Amino acid sequence: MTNPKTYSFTLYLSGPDVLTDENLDALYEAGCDDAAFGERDGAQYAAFDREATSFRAALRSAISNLTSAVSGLEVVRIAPEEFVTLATIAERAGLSREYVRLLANEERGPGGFPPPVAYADHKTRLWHWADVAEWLQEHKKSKEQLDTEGADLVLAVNAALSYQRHARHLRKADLALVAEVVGDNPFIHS
Amino acid sequence: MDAGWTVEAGKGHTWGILRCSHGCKLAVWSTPRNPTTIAKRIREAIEECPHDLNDDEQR
Repeated sequence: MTNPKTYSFTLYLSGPDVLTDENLDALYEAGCDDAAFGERDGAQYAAFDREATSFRAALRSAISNLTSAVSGLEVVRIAPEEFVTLATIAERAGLSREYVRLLANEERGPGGFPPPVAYADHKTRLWHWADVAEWLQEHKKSKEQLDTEGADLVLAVNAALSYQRHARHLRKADLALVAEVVGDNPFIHS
Repeated sequence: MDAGWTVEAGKGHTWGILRCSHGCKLAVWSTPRNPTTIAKRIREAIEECPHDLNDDEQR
């Protein structure tokens, strides 16, 4: 039996306004007294600090509390984000920004740092945290304990949620192309 | 730090709702399960508010 641990994560929400007196009371009663509900840039969120035996269990119970309390409430995204900059990598791994930059540029460490998955403003590199966490773990470079399984789970859930939200705008031919590009992926075909 | 946030009194389990001048909001429970983690969340909401005029994006 694993000892319970506190997992901190944020669930971004869509659907009814959660910041009404009535909905906040319902959320509190449903067990969300370990969450802070808020809004930023028009998006509502629930920031949880939940004790559970695994990150998966914490997520599952949080989502179930939310959707049972307010009907029509949907989770649209999970944070900590799957996309990270050098600064975020440094923060999550307890390392200096400069050291992470050297690792990423392969001027220090064993080399083979995962390539970025996107660039913002042409120059700012973005990585998938799941790739970087696995590399840091493998080469014992992190000063913090990293949950690589949790990183994969967040990435997969966010990708699935984005797909679900946007696939409905696609034509059949576009969907067929998605399936072709992804290959034999059960998630895309189901 | 003058963060420019205001508080609106809440009802029921809600002690109040904090608001920044550009629409950030955060509800605070009267009796949270763990006051320490809620305090951390309040600090985060204020520090990470993207509308803070002193932040990097607007420098």
